[in-house]
Amino acid sequence: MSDKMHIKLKVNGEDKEFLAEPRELLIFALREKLDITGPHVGCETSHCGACTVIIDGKSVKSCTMFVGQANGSEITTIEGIGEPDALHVLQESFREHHGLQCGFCTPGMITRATKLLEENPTPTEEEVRFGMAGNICRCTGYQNIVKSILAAASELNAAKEAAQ
Amino acid sequence: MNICTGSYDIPVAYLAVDGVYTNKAPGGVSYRCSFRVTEAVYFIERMIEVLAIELNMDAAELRRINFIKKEQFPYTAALGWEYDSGDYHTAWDKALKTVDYEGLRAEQAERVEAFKRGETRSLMGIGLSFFTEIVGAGPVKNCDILGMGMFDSCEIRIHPTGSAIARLGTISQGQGHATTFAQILASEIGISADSITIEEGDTDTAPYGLGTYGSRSTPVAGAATAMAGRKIRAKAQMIAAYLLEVHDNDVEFDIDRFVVKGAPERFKTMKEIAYAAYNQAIPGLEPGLEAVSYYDPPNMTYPFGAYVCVMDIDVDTGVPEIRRFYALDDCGTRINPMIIEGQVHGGLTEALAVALGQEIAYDDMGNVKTGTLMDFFLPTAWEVPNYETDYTVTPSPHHPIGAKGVGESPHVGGVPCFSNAVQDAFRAFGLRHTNMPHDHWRIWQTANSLGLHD
Repeated sequence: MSDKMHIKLKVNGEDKEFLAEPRELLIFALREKLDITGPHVGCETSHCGACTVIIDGKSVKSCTMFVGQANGSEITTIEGIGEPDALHVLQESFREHHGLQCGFCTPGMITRATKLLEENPTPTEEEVRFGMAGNICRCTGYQNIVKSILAAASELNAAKEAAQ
Repeated sequence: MNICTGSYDIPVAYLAVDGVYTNKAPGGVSYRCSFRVTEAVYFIERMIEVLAIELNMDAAELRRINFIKKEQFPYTAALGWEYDSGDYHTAWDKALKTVDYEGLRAEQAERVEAFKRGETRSLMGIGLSFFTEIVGAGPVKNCDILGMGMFDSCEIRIHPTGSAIARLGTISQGQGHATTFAQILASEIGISADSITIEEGDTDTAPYGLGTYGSRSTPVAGAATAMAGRKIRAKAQMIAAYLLEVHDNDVEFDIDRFVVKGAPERFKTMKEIAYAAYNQAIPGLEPGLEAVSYYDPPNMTYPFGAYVCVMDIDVDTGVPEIRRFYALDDCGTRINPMIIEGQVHGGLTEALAVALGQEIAYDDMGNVKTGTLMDFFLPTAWEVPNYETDYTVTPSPHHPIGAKGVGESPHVGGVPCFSNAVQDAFRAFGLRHTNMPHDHWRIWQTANSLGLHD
C-alpha cells in the first residue's frame, strides 16, 4: 500500500505534480524531487533561514513545513526572483554592496528581503535588522546585507516614483 | 600562544601550557581564529586592564607607554617570533582621537556619578584592545602540517589573446580570492583583472598548496601570485625589447605595456606581447608565456589593529547595548578595501558572539546543554551593531607587495575589546575580572555581586 500523497504545487510559475510522503519536509521535496536547489539546507531546525521561500505570499522556512501542508500552494524560490543576466534589484544590490561572502545564506536572505520590502517598502535600518533576524549569516556580520537591502529599497521606490 | 606578549615591549617572558585530553568539543575547529591568536591576545589584553587597575592608571596610556616602538622593528619578541613591521603608536593615537577617548572617559565618569545619585540604572563601558596577529603560515623551516611544508603556489598561463588564467593552491570560501588575486596579478602583469580567470580547488589542475586558513592566502598564495607574475613580466620584457629592436634594459614597464625609455611613443602592450610570445619566432626564447611560483615565505606576517567599543549596560537586566564599535586594522598593503571591510565586519560579529554569549555548556553529568541553535548563541542582524572601520598602512617588508592578511584580525582584536567593554563598565565599582561569555545573566550576576542591586 502506498502511503504517498499526490502533491500539486506551482513553483516559480510552473505547475509541478509528484508523489511524496506527506511528512517529507518541503525543502527536500524542492531540492530532491524538483531539483530546485536554490533554497539551501542550513540547519533543518528552522533557525538559520537558508531555506526561505515565499509560499502564498508569506516568507516561510521550507524546512519548517511538510510537503503535505504545502499541497496546492504557490511557491517562489530564489530561482523565481531573478536570472543571472537579469538580476532582481536586490540581487544587484547585494553584488554592488558586498552583501555576500560565501553565499550560502544568500538565497534565503534575498528571498526573505523581497518579501520584507513588499511588506514594508520604506523600512528603517532597525526594521530591516528586525525583519531579517530569522536569517543567519556567518560571514558578513550583516552590515553589508542591511546596506544592500536599504539601497534596494531606495532604488525600488525611486523606480516606482518615476513610473508614476 | 607564543604571541602572548602581544604588542608590548616585554623583554623576558616564560610560557607554560597545559594540554588536556577531553571528550568535550575540541578547539581548533572553529573559524576566524577562535583557537589560536585570539586566546593569546585575550590574555595579554585582560592582563593590561587588570594591571591598569592595580596601578590606578588609564588603560590606554598604560598600553601606549609599553608598545613596541616603530624603530624597534623588525622586533624579536621574548618568546622568539620576529615581528616584521609595525607602527602601533600611530594606529593607537588615530583610534583614540577618532572616538574622542578623553570625551568618552569624561562621559563615563559623569555616568558613574549619576548612577551613584540614583539618576540612572545604566553604566557605560569603554572597551579597548590592541592586538598583534601572526599569520601567513609559513616558513617551511618552522611551519609544517604532519611534515608538509607550508608553502603555497600560483601557476599562470597567459593566452595568446592577452587574457590569462591563474591557478592557486588555496581555495576561496567566500574571502573573495577571485577578485583579490586577479587584482594582484593585474598590477604585476598589466592585464586587466576582468580578463584574468582565477581557478582554485581542482586537484587535477591546481599546483600543490596547503590551502586556506590562518589568514594565509594573501600572505602566501598572494605572494606566489605576485612572484609568478614577475616571471611573466621578465619574459615579456625580453619579448618587447626584441619587437622594439632595443636592448632588454632599454624598455620599462608602464601599467599595461613596455615602453622604450625616453621614447614613450614606442611601446608594445601586454596583449601584443602575449600574441607574439606564441606566434613569432624569437631567437633565444622558447615560445609561450607561462610561469609558476612556489613561495616559501621568509617570515610570518604581523597585522595589527586598535579597537574601541562603547557600550551601555542596563544594570538591572544585564543587557549590554553596543553604542559604537571602531576598528582600525593595519594589514599592510590593502588590495581590495571592500573585501577587507567585509572580512572585518564578519570577524567582529564572530568575536561579539564569543565574548557576549557563545558557550558549549555541560551539566554535571557531562551532557551538553547547548546542543541546538536555540541554546547556542549565533548573532542575527538584530544583535549586531554597525561597525566603523578604519586603517593605517604599514607594509610587510618581506612580502612581495607588502600585504599581511586580515581574515582573523577582527576576531583576535574583537574578543578582548567586547570583553573589556563589559568589564570596564564595572571598574569604578571594584570589578577586577570576570570570565566570558558575558551573557545577560552573567552580567546581572556581576552587578549583583558588586552590590549594585542593593
